[in-house]
Amino acid sequence: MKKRTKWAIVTLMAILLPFCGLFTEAVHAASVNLHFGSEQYEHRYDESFLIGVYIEADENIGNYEVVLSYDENYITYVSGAEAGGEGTVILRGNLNGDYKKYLISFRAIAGGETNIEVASANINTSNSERINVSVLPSAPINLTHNPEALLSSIKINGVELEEFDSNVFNYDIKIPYTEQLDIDAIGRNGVTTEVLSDNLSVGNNMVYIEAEGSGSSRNIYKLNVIMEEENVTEEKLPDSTNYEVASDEKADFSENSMNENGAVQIEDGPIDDGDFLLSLFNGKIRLNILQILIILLIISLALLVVLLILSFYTEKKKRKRRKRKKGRKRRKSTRSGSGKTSVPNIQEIKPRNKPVDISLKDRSLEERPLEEDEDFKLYGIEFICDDFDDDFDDEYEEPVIAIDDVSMLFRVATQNVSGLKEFIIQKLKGKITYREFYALNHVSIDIYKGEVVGIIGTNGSGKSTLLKIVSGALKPTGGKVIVDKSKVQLLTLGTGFDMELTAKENVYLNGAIIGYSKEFIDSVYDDIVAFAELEDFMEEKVKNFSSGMVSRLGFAIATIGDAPEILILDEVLSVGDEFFRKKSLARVKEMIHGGSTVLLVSHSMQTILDNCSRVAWIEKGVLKMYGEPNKVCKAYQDMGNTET
Amino acid sequence: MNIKQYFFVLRELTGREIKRKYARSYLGILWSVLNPLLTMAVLSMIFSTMFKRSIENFPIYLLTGQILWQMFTGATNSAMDALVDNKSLLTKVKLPKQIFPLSRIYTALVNLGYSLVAYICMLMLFRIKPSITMIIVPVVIVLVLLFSIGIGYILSIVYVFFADIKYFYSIILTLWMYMSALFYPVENLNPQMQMIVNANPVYCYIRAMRGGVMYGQWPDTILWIKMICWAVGMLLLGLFVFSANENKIMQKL
Repeated sequence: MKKRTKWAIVTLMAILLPFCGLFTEAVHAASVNLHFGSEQYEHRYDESFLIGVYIEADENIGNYEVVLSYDENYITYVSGAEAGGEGTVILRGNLNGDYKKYLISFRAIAGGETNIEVASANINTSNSERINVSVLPSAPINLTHNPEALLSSIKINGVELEEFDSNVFNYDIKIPYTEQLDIDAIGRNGVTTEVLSDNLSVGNNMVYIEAEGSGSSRNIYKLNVIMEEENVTEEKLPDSTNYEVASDEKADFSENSMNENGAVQIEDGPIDDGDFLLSLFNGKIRLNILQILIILLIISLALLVVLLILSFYTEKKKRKRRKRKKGRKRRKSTRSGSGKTSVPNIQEIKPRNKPVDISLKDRSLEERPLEEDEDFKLYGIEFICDDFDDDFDDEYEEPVIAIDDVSMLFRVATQNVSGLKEFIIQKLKGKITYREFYALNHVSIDIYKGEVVGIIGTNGSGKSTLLKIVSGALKPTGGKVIVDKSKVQLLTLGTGFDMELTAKENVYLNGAIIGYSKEFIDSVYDDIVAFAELEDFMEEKVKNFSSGMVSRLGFAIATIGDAPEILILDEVLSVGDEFFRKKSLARVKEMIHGGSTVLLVSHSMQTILDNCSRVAWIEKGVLKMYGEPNKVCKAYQDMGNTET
Repeated sequence: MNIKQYFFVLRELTGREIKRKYARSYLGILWSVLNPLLTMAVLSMIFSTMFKRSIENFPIYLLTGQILWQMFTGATNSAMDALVDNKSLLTKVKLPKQIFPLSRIYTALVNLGYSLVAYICMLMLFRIKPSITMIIVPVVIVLVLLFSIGIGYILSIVYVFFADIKYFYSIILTLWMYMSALFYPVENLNPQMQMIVNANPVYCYIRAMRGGVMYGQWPDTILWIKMICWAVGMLLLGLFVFSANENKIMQKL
């Protein structure tokens, strides 16, 4: 088994590792930042100027070759690198470093707008691995026009271009399909013009119009002629005057203008078409999605708030209603003058010198929602008189556990509401009602040192609730328990047992929860195992245990500790087979005789009669009887008999 | 019972959580290492081939955010049902109830520990140079932990009264994840979005950790203030909400 796991890990790693390698290759490949010194250039039509080209890499670069391309109509290369002919400049060499800077000198020869770009980049690392340059930069060059070489108008197929402005150099023109495109440019006085264009085709056609003035001054106008497809334009052909013009002075700066708007900050280059996320976050879609998101969020938040308010409101209303009811009831009962016991009376009945907590009197309504219900209190309690005689000798002794007027109210929704929709519907209809029931209804018991008190009662009558309250795990909704909590130990079986863990792990888990320290468990571990008689099963998962084995283990863990001063046993004595029961009974007796005060819940009358010095009978949350074991047990059994 | 005992209980409970979580799986705890690695591999693949990203060392960028995010969601999600799951224990044992959500958060921390093993391997694989600023990592983790404890306490209480919060929270987490810039650089967003993301506490922690590990930077003062305020504020709020409702829970459970 172990070996198999090991092999599985090894194979998995083996599969995984090349994967990782793949990613290092693909993703971590050295990167190069290739860029110009400025984002754009502004120069005069006849100036010489420098353009900086920077190669910055995060690794050492070996061979490299970068080709710049520019438009020969506007600028000419002067110096700084290697001329490649046909409007190209080549930067190449063998660099042993990660940074290289070129300053390339150009001279403007015409006014207009052009740009310079990196046509190709072939860069290798010093280990002659090729570095991918994903972004080839480009920078616009704005050359101010030469005032001596301006055009006055442009005619396309004989029609004058309406939007023409002699100071605007770039135009986008849309024309219907034609076989022949005639462009006439008329220069201002003394300006000669020349129209340069490729073969005309459907789509984009670049047309350059060179205007040459006196003293070889030149400007270049750029027309981007977009010709529509043939079939579309056939009908329109007769009036070919029908073209649209968009003056597009800033076409080349569109990226930068986007930058200014803050929509995208392009550091690494223009947006990839495939870059879905970016377009999601920049484009129009973003706004819509954001709006939808916000609306959704607001709706759900509003829903939550409404629900919370609703539940608060109904709670309040209900409380008020309850209060009113109580008030009515109380008035009625006082008017009728029924002889039911009221608070002061009870305290008279109770055994003496019990410490009375003053704060009891001014408990807030919230803590005790049914304070006015005092008139229901304790009816049916019979205090047995010999009780008082028994306790006579320890008249001045303080009780170890003083359970003082303790109530525990549980609220259970009568309708099982599952889901939000139903919840709202029910809430609106006011149909969500809670059944309130008292697991304990004003119970008072005093227990003195050394007593063994048994608690009996039918299932669900509140015995365990009482134990939990005494041990401090539950807080009562009314009343008070005065007890030194540090001395109390509640033994329940298998608290926090986890079926998926082994028995050994459960011993530690359970021990920790009960309150043992790690050192203590270490030292008594063998005793626990021996007592539970589970020596061969400790490494096995508890889910494979029989229920008897689980409870044996639980008992062994629970009782291994030193007998605490106050011991609370919840149904721990009816565990396992007959032999184990005897053994466990012996152990509990030992603990009891060690002088502990014991609270004991059991359904076995024999256990109660054998061990207890006092018995409390709790029925439906009400203390029915408290006193001598024989009498209480007999009364309890009588009740059972009469009912059946 | 003293602090030491509580810590022992916490450790035992955490041990139980972890053992139980992987009880039926073949590779067991190894999944804590594999999970972030594989997630990173998948996401790197998607984002480096499908959407070309221009982040240096993208897998590390991703993984840094990923492990913190995993811890945060793991801690808060599991702390949410801590009280309900341990119902039977809660009513029988007189342990402080805070210990149950805390054990879930501790579990998330242990998981993070295993993920860190994977993280360190990746750092070495990508030849990230060790720098002094890497000592920011434990500090950030502690702060995220405090923040998660606060949220976990609040959620665990709310969950007792209102179980629908579980589904709602998972939606919120999805939104939150996209607002945490796990796999895209914040600079790509427009200013309003950047503001929202920068206010996001989880992103603050991720940013500080990325700065420390990948770029050798200390967080600036504002970031420090933001991180500490979020952590301490959320912790105090969580503790307050928890102790205010501690007794109401017992009735509801």
